[in-house]
Amino acid sequence: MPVIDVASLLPLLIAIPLIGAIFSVLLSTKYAQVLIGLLSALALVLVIGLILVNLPSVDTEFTTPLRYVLAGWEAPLGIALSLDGFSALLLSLTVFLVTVLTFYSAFYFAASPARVRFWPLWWLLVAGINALFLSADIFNVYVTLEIIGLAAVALVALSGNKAGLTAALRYLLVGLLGSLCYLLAVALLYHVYGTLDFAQLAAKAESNPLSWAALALITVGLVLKTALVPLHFWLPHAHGSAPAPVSAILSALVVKASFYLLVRFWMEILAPAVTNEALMLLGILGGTAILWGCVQALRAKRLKLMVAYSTVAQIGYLFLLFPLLMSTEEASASQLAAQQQSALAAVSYFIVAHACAKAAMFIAAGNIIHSLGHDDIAKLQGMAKYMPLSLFTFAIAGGSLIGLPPSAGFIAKWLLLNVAIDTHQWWWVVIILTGGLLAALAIFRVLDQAFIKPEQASDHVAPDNWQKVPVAMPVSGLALALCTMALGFNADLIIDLIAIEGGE
Amino acid sequence: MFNNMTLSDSAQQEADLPGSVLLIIGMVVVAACLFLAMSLVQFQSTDQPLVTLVVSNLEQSGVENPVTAVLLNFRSYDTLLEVAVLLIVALAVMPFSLQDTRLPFIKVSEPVERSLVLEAFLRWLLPAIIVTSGYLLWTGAVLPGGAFQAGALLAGAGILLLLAGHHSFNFNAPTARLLLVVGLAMFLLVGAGVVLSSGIALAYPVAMAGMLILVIEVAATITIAAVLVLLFCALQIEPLGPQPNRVEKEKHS
Repeated sequence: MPVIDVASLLPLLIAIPLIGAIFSVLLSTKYAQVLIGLLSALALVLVIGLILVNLPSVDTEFTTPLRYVLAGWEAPLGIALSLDGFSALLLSLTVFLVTVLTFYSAFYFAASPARVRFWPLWWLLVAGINALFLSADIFNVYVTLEIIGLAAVALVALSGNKAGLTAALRYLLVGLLGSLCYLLAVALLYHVYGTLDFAQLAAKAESNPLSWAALALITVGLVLKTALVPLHFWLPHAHGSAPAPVSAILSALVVKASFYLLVRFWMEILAPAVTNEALMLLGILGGTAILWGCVQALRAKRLKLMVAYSTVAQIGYLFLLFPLLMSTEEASASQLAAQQQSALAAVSYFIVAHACAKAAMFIAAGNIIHSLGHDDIAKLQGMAKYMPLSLFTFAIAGGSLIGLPPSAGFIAKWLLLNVAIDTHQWWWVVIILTGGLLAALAIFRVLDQAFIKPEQASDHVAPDNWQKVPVAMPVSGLALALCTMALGFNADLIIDLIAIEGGE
Repeated sequence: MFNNMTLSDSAQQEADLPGSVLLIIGMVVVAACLFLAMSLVQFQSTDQPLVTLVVSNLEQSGVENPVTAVLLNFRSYDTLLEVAVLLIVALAVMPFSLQDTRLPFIKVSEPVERSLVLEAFLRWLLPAIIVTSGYLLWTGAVLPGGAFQAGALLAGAGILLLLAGHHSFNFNAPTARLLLVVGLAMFLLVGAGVVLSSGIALAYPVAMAGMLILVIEVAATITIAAVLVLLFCALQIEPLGPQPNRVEKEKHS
């Protein structure tokens, strides 16, 4: 028996970052803001730790998701929070990354006046992400999407230069369009089914034209926010021009938040309205995204832009989940459920692997910019001598993105390939392998410049000109990169967590 | 912070889409709208169970206006997050500078150009607006009204005060920061405080519900008014002249 009621801890995951935000607005001195940040991160780690320890395990009879009814009003009147294996995994990932990035930001923003605005917005963004993963109400999800979208735009604009502001404004408009599509779908669903609660909708949903329309609108809105090709145009600039910790959280978590919602809608809430053709369409877009993102990453001239395009490709892998959910005539319901479960496990693993690797890469890129003042790939020649730790981080994280064993990226691709072969969709195997090769080309291009080629004796590299970064900055990136390796050896942790209470 | 970007700048960067692409996009949108309209017409509307549910639970909500009951009791969590959205907007547009933190919130100075009519008018209008705003807040429990309406009205008073030219607001002052967060802070405080009596976050005890909702709404009104005035201050055309805090921003990354 659990010692405490785990469900009653859920609101804390939203309240702690909100309290952190309030205090960082009120106390704007440097050390106060950092102290508040570290305390909030610590509190979040404690809470999520307590939740994970007390989570009912696979073997016990608890098969329903944890539920906390806010304000004491049951759905459909009130709003509930809920937690199952998938959201527990994403919440743990969020808390882990936020903790590392908070530590990193304390150093990154140490000398920058932007910190006054950064810290409150940072905690509001975290509150929004946590609230989204916990929400069990489709309108409440809209509010959390607004929080995430607006906070992310404001954080991108922190860079303060013209490219950053233009990217932020475009991000704002795209985000608004996506939110409005989603809101229209919410209105439709409420009109048809008279409830906003996830579970109640899932029980009532059927395949009718209005459900299709709602699902299509939700998909367009969320795909826009997730930046799936061909709606990815805003991402490289927004992620490429934001400050490093912001780029890291945007790539690692914010795009995953809207992807998480897509999975919820397609696999649970509106599952009856889903057709095989629609699943295939998302898969084809995902495959295109992999190839297109990799090619653009190869062509990118700036390091951060390259990393951002690699995010476009990695989002493509996530969307391969959808064709793998397709039902066939000969498969029974239990076989289909098992197939969907293993596809979801593979993609969840992918999310975690990519989040850690991409955050590490953006941190490494941020360190390089911090010390060199630019991130021009052509000018990185021989720089490994000056920044061994950052470039080593970049190499390890890159290895995980390519899918080299024993990294987490390798296991994720392995699982995905397995499911693709089990469902007789061999063409995805070709795309996944090609994507890995192209990613390898892009990563090795940078590593070749930095490690192999000798330093240019020209004037644009002035070694006494660059500032040394505090050692904590590369170390936090390295920690994340090593995590992708550690996760490669402990794959069962994540797969077991997903199996709790099922994705269904 | 978007002030220094003009429309022509972004228009230059982005070449216009070709006409054929625009046509295809237009046709797709029209087709989607037609499909939506047709499926809405075909759908047999059922009665909404939620409306009766709200009415039947209204007595326990502490207010008599169903809109206020939904916003601040049944779905209070949504409103709590909306207040957080307001704070984000405030932070996004706020002109930050570290030097201004020690200056007072309201600065009184002699205006360049005095507008005697507006000044005389404001002497009568400002108290009336504040009283009306308080009335809207109070009446929200029974009739249409509430924190958002009252806050908007109060913000109108603040903007008129600015236009008269005697006063200017410094949103970096500690008082201003307090005004910006008080809505969210009070909401969280009440939401967490009621755990002591009812055991559930945001679940007000029935006897005190009306009072607690009013407390939350007063704080939210202040924050809403402050955010709206801040929006006006931040987005108005800035006076020409050297801008010392611009340079600092550029330094970063």
